[in-house]
Amino acid sequence: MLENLVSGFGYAFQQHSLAALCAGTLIGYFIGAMPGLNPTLGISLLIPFTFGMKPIPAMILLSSLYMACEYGGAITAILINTPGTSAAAATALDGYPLTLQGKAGKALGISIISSGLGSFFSTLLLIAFAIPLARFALSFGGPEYFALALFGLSIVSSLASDSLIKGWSAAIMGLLFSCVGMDTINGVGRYTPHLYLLEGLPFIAVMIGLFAISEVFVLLEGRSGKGENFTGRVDALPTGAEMKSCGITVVRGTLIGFIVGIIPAAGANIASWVSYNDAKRRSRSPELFGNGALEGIAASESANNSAVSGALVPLLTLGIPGSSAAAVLIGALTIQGLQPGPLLFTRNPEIPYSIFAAFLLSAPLMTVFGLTCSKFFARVSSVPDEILAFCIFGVCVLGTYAIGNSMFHVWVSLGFGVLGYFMRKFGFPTAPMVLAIVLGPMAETNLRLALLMGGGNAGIFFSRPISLVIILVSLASFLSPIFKNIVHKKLSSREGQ
Amino acid sequence: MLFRFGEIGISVLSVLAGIAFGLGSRNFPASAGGGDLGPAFFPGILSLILIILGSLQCLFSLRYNRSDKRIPLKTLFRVIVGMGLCTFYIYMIPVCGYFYVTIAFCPLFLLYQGYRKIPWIVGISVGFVILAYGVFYRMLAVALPL
Amino acid sequence: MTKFVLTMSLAILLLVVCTTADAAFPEKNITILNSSTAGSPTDLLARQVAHYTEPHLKQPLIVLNKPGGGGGVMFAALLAAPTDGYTIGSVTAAQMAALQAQLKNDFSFDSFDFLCNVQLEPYAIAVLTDSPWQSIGDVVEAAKSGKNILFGGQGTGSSMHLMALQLSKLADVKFTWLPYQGGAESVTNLLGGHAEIIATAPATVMQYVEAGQVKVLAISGESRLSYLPDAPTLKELGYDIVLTQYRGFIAKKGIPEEIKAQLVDAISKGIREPGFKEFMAQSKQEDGYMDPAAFYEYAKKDFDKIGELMQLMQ
Repeated sequence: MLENLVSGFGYAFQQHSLAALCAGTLIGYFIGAMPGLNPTLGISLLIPFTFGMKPIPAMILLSSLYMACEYGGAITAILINTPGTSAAAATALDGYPLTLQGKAGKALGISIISSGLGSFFSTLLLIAFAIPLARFALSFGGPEYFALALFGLSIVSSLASDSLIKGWSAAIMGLLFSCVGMDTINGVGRYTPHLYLLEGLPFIAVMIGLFAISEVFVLLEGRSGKGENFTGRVDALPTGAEMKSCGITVVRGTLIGFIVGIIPAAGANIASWVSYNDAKRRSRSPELFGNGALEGIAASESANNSAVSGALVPLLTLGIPGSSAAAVLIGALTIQGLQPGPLLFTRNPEIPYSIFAAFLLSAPLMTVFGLTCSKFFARVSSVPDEILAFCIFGVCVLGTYAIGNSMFHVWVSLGFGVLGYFMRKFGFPTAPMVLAIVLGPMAETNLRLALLMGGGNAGIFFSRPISLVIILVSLASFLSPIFKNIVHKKLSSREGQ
Repeated sequence: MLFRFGEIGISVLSVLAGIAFGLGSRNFPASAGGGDLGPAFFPGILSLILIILGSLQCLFSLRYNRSDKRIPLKTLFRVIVGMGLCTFYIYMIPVCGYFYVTIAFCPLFLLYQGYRKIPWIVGISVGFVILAYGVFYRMLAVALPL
Repeated sequence: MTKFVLTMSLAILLLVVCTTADAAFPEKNITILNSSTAGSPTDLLARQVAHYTEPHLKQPLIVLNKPGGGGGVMFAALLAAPTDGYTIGSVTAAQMAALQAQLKNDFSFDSFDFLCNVQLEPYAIAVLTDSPWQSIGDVVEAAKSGKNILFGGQGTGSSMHLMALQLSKLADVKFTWLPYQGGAESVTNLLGGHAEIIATAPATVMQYVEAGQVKVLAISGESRLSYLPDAPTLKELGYDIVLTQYRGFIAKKGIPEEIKAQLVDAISKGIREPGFKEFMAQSKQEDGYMDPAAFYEYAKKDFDKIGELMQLMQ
């Protein structure tokens, strides 16, 4: 393995590969930042360019693009509450409040450093454990995916801990929205008066609407004075102490992200939410989460970058995509005349190893580049609200249109923007709705698949070890914030007496 | 306007949504057998839970007085008109072409918010459209409506 | 004076109309509409065809992804474009089959003109190499003895599902169908043991067959595949099931004959280029070129057959 890695570095340091590395990283950084453009789209847009390239530079270009997208997604999430990639949604929860407090530089800095560390260490995990972990990727079937979705949904309790009924209403509403579209088990259209809805409400458009467009409307309220409460420089980077306090969160985030990334069909976005939830539960000051906790950003960003490496585990070892972006990479490999599959490591070891080398090289590169840019980007928060409102809205329209080359997505986005604004005004959190729309289809389809597998018998969830464990953990995750709330209320009322 | 009214409004809306989704699910075909729950199960249960949660929230908002913040109607009105402007913009894009409509919308939007620095308005309008053209239309080959 | 101006303008107008009417096709970009997202097999095929056909048309061919609506968004876009030959669509058997199902009320088979077909691929039924069933006969026997067979594949009401339904009808047994979202998901579930047998495109499982992890029990074509010589056809086994997936190009009905001929000619030249042939070999696809008339016949037959099989679903 070591000789392969060394030769991988050898390939990576060649002229074409280095150029591909830099190009992929820069382009990916930008594509990740743009809302509506995600790594899947980015990779497919670049595939035509790889026609004339040799296999190694082509794969380095595309995989570094993939990794860099998850760095870039945090930029817009933090600065304008518009997650550039769906996996940066959790970053926005704490990143944007920090921007409003005048600490955009710190938020951006932590996001870059966490991304870099997550990317670097997850690559080491990838190199060491790819082959043994491949089997793990296969052990997830209907019951396990349902349990995973359940776990993801249980995070709502923690996200909405101060207004559980409102949070769960938003989540259930989101689950109902996710039922719109063609039922995957029966093939019938549900709630689809028009054929555009057959594939369901387009998730990215919904997310951009709920987060970003609702923010535009908030900015329309014209509450000035944002710049006057800032203490210190807006573009100040995080101090050593602040970075250290996020250290353990980054380690946990990397591990969580990597493992979730391995699971096919569970990618960076689920990884970032699970990591965020974990960090919030373990934190000594969980009430800061959602109001500008640096640990929240660290948890989310380290996990979403680490999930990229995770997604490559089943791809490189078995030819199974661990995420939709990885699925496009399969196409790229095919065009290069390579076959992703169990034989890739034996037939063409130079491919996976040069990708590993590229990731290891790009991590410090991205971190330095990102930190330098952060100082510049942070100044965006001093831009007057009016201009910001227009720019966010304009970019969102462009981004949502780019999803399917159709105005339909733009309208969906606008609609959810209006909904999101009123929800925020009256205390209903929007994050649970986003989470529910992502997880709803996974939950329902797999619940029904599992029951088909078990012949109608619900025991299948409990007879399979992985599914059983995850369900128990979800139960705990669902109930614990509720208990904490009740205990907290009892204690404070006792103190009050 | 009281914060409470908004809370109640949204809770009522969610109850209505629950009812709508629930009624819609009654038309779905039955399950194909073999242990499958059928297409109506999930939406049905969710509608029920939503109706319950919505009603609970409604009751809480009516009873407890902790949500007596006031929200100025003027601001809400301003936002709603702004929403209308945005809707009109999106409606016009396929009609007149993205670039023309955007370059017209930008100053309108900025002026509406009360921004008065004309050179900046012109600069942003032109700059944004140029960026949109260069990055989205040419580089990324997104077929914007013209 | 006005009369003079009017006649001149009329003359100029006529001149302009005549020149544009006689202008050589193609003068600008040709758009290939694709209903799957970028990176999917059909999208890659469209891009490869575009790449190799460009030199023969001297104009760029651009693939525009219009996903959504179960293929309906692409159909709608195709039918909204003028019949000047500058907009064509890539199509698969599965999308046409959707016209019998969820898109029944929105589009009709006769609104399209068939240009040519490029790929033909039968479906394969596969199990793990260490499965207790080593032939279709074993599977049928197991089903008859009351075992709940978990048969997985893409979609409900899709060609794969219909193939499994037909097999169960002809063999007089029952399977439990597990609908998945795509070939990759089907294979993943097979490898993980969550489905015991799957119906999928052969190209999806080839790498696993080569690695010795998966065995193909049968294929649904007319004759055996060159790269799977040991897999019998369902016909050979006594089941009259012939279902193949085609991937080709269509246009809106009413496209002028000369333009159609030009497009077909260019595409057929493009797919004969060695680079494209290599791509086909790499993705384990057999050449399924059909000219417009043959393609229309084939597609119509397939469409009607799917309609019949849909009755099995009720």
